[in-house]
Amino acid sequence: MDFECDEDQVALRQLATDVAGRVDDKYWQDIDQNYRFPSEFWASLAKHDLLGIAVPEEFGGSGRSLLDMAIAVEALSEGGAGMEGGALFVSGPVFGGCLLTRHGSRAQQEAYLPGLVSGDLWAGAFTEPDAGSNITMIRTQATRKGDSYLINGQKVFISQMTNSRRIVVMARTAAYDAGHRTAGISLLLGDLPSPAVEARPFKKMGNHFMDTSQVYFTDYEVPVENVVGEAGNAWAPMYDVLNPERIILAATAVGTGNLALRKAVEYASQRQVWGRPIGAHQGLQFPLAEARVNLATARLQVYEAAWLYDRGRECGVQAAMAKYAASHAALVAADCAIQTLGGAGYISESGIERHWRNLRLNRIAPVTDEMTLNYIAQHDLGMPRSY
Amino acid sequence: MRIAVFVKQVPDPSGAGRLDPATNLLVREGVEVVLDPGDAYGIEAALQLAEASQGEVVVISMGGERALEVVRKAMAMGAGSGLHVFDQRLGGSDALATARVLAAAVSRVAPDLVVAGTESTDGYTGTVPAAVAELLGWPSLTFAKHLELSGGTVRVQRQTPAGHDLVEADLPAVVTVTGGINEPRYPTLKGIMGAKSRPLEQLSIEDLGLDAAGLSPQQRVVAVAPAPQRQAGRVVEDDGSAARLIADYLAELKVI
Repeated sequence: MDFECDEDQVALRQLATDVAGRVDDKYWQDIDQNYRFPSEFWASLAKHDLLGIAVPEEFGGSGRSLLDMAIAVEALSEGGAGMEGGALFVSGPVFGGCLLTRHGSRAQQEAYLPGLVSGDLWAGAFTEPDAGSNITMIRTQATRKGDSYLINGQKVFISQMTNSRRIVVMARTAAYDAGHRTAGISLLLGDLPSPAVEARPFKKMGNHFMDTSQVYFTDYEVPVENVVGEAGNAWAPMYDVLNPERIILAATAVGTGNLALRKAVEYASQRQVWGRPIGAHQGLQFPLAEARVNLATARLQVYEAAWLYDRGRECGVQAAMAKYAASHAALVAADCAIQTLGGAGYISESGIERHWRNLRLNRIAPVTDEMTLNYIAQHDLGMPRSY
Repeated sequence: MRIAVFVKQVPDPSGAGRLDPATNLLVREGVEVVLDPGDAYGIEAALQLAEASQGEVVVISMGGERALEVVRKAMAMGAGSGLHVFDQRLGGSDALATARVLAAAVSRVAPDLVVAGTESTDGYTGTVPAAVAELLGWPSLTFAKHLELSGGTVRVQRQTPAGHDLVEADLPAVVTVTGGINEPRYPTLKGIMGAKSRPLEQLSIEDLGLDAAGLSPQQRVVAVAPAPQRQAGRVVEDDGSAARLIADYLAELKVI
């Protein structure tokens, strides 16, 4: 067992910290308050080769690993970019990069990966009003017509629709078969914007840097060769997107939790009450130290899950554990940070409450706490399937 | 076009520097070390010139084992190769000995231009680049806030208290650049990974054809004292005459 980062990982972590440090908290507050996509920051990620960390070199990436992506994401978030800086990696490096690197055809890789490395944003349209974790119940249909599929249906809670250039759509290409529920589902790759795709963004609690929409497909045409993997057999490719998504969002949470903690510690060291910094009191130290313990252990689970993924091994349980541990540790850390700052923590300008609002999402998405735990109960503890 | 750029590894300027009471020199062991922030401007200036002329940049540094890190960093930013002069006998070198070593390194690299920061963030002598130029018999252009090459000449805007002078010299030459001349880039991931496969030479005093005896420090720090505390300013109560008092005070200082 080796806990040492190699030379490149140390340099990568430093690079990510530097890139995050080039942007100040005012920038993120502006993004939050104006519901704006951080296009300047996204361009900087592309410029410094961070979007192509795990994309093979022959398609313009750096040919490294999901673990390296997790290390970079954590450093970006912790370095000041918070949830915004890390969660962005789902909208390209994960939805497009992880999917096509493992399951894309050569032609798909050549056509789409170089653009992804240089900054194409990707949306992933999986969830439907009546199909969340029960994804086999999706009703969006892709109907074959000559050399194309025509997609019709409705999706919900889809991120980054306004700015995405590409979209991965999960749709039924064959009718539901109760005996083999996962069969007949395909992943199809399309270009945006398109008049056949309409997105209606929601107002929401946090994460204003990415829009979240209800999406309607009306005869959205994609060529047959844009099916990723085998038509009707999306299960394996899907898990090579969902597991990295959990891992990257867990890395984001760990970094963001540590960022909130750092802001709290700085405040507690400076703020004097009755002649002493408030941080000198154990009553303030203990919650912050406890949050640190939970973030540190969550991080180890994130790294292990990524390490397993990179070796092509089963990582569903570890990714679920990483996601659960990191979501909780980070949310509690942000909450303790608000408590440490007192009234100041509740004010947007101090740049703490935003982390709490953003991190609250991680207990719900990309999968809820409850579905995460019943997955662990079933697949790790060997308990009966509960749903 | 081949451009050499000097870099130095210094104790992190954001930390509090400590002096060794025995030598009166800065403690360099056991402290966080970084690329001298002033050097980043030199590297960026050299890279921009090289990019515009399809040229190459060679990084030169003299320093301890860890100076290798800053040479690598400059290479990760885009320099094509590096030369690290590393010799235990050079520990505690003064500015002149450093200049002799760097001049020998420059002769080996044979560039058309040498770019350096104005002064280091630890020693602050600001004399090394000019001394290198003198030892090589090359023109020295200092405090450049703008720098351009045309044909066989280098032209700089030399920062002055009043504005700038236009200074021009034939190549080869040594130029020092001011902070703020550009915005230094960060290395990219590919830059970091690519730098490892580019040539980086480590040379000793003898490799440079120098004699260690001629490099012993000629300078000794006999005493150091803490910088004087800043005096409290003068407070003017405004009874209607404050503007006049302030103007008189500034005139007395010859500021206005």
